[in-house]
Amino acid sequence: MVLLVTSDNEQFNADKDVVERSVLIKNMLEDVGESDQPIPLPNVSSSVLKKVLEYCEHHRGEPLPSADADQSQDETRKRTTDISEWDQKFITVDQEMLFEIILAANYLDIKSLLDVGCKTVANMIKGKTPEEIRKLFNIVNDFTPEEEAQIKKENEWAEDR
Amino acid sequence: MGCAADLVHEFIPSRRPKKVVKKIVGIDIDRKVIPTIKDCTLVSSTHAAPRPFMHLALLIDELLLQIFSFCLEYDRPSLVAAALTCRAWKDPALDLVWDCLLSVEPLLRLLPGISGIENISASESSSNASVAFSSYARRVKYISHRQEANNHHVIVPVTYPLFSALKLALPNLRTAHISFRRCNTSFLPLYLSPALCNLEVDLGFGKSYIDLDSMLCDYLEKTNLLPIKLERISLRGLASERLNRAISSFHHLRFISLKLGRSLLPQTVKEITTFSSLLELEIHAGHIDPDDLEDTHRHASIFKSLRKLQIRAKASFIEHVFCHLEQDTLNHLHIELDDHSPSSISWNNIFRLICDKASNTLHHLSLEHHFELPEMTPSSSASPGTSLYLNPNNTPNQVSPALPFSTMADLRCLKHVKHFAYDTTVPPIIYDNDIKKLLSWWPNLEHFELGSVPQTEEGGLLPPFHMMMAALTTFAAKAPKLQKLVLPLPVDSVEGEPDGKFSVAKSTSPLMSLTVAQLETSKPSNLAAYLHCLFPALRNLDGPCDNNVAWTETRATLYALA
Repeated sequence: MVLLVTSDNEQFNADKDVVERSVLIKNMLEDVGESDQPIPLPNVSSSVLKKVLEYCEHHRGEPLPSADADQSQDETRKRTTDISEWDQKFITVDQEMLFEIILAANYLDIKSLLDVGCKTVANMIKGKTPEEIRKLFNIVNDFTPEEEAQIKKENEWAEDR
Repeated sequence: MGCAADLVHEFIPSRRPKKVVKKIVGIDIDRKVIPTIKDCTLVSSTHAAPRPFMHLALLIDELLLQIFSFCLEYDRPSLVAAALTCRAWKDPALDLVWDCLLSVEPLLRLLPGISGIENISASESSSNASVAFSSYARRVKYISHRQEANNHHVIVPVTYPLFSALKLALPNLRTAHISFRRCNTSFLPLYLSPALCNLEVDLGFGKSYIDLDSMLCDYLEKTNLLPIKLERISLRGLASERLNRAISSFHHLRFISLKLGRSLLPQTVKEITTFSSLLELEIHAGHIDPDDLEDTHRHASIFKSLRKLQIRAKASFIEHVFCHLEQDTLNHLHIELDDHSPSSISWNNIFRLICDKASNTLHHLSLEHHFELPEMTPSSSASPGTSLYLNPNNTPNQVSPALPFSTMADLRCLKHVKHFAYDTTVPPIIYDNDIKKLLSWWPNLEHFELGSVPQTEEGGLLPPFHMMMAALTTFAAKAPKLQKLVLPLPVDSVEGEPDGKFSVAKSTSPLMSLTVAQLETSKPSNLAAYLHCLFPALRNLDGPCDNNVAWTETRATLYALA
């Protein structure tokens, strides 16, 4: 078992093969060796870590992606936004939690979880106008009308659906 | 051994695979310093109320690229919409919009004076246009003309200073797939890039493309002068002598694919055999005789670094190559024989040479030979296909087109083989009992393929079948790593025990895909249960004429059992 301590000082006990889905924690455990020392995760709150551990537990034993799995230029062009049924249910959370999971997955280096989070956001963006996207994510439009018009014109070719 | 808390600060940042530097309102902030995720969470931590600000995660370039990469496939409009939302999203989104282009037209439309561009006032300076061009051009990493593009709409004036003003126009272009049929080749100079690694050109086999060959030669000669790391060249079509010379000058290439028909000159092949960094070669050399290479190869070894060879050539040429090949380098070999008749081929010689040169390294071996079937004489005592497996006239210089198992046994020393495919017009003569021997030679086998069965004029299969259903039980029991199996095998009904079970041992075979020559059963569910018993991981069952009821029902039951 491995003891994890969150930013709000909550402690979580989890199996080694569950927490080792995080490359960050796996590397830490390798560096520390056999030890009862708790592992502090100052960038992850307890509510988020609970969700992350739920994900790792469900995907326990599945093969981990290799280090250079998505390095190929061609690979990045073939990514799909398919999400498995379980992952879909798992990631059905409010926007705040969704982004916190994404940040945690990035920090803990759990590629598959990061992909699920990013795919979900990508699916939210798909098919929307700039104004709809701004409204959805509380984005402030900081372009001048001229700048906006120029970007639109220069990228007109890409707008054909 | 240190404390885990210390490690968080001392070791972890350096072990993190990606540096996360984000821009927040135009200021670069290193995540390790401020703000922590916790801080950001506290600023707007109430999940119930609508968040008044954009979440921090949406301001991190690295995460935005991840998110947008999932928007990319067939959905550039969503990326353009994302680019138009705010300044922080503009660059990550546009990087992906322009990452891969099907033509250079979108770039050229940014330049003043190009036909098709509207709303560019006379006062707009060309330097402004050049800045816009450069800001987009640096994002292009991949150009592909594999798909039809309307780039012929753009008309570039003859005097347009493309070559001087736009020298190395695409500084980050890594891959260019150019099709002479699908692109305006006057844009070729644009593809000169110091980052170019991979160049694929389809010259076409029509005579009208021959003039364009000289433009490609110019381009290749200039490319060779740049301090670039071009690693891969793939050419298909008719090549001139000059283009052959240009190819010969790329000594540093690591991957070459040449499908140039008879326009590939023996001299070019000679030169390529000496490329010391060449790791992979795909070549069509059916028209080249071993004598064409003899002078250079009399004493020297060739292809010193070659790991993967895909070659279409005559047997005599392949034997010559293998005689001079460096020992123990090749791990992937695909041979397609170009001989018209099987009588001119000695598989024994080829197999012996393969074993001599690659017995310690080869893990992928594919052999292909397709030829016209000899005329079959009707026989009263045997099926019409029997003559395929016999010496036609029982004369010493005539051989059967079918490979006997005894010849295949010459390959037994290839201990590391994982993938074996033998795809010829007439399948080899292998009986059920031979399979056990074969699997004992190759314990690591993951893919095994013996092609298909010749067909009659009516489209039926030509018997006799040498391998029968019993072969499957041997594969299930003796091939612990086998995942794909293709056999010239008829599959028919199986009889189960009265309780619906079969008298075969419980198998742990990982086989996922099975292709057979024929499937005929009146009890598809019984057959599926039997196959599932032999191969519990089986998901794909394929074969010819696979739309009939037996196929459909057997597949459906297999799917349900899985």
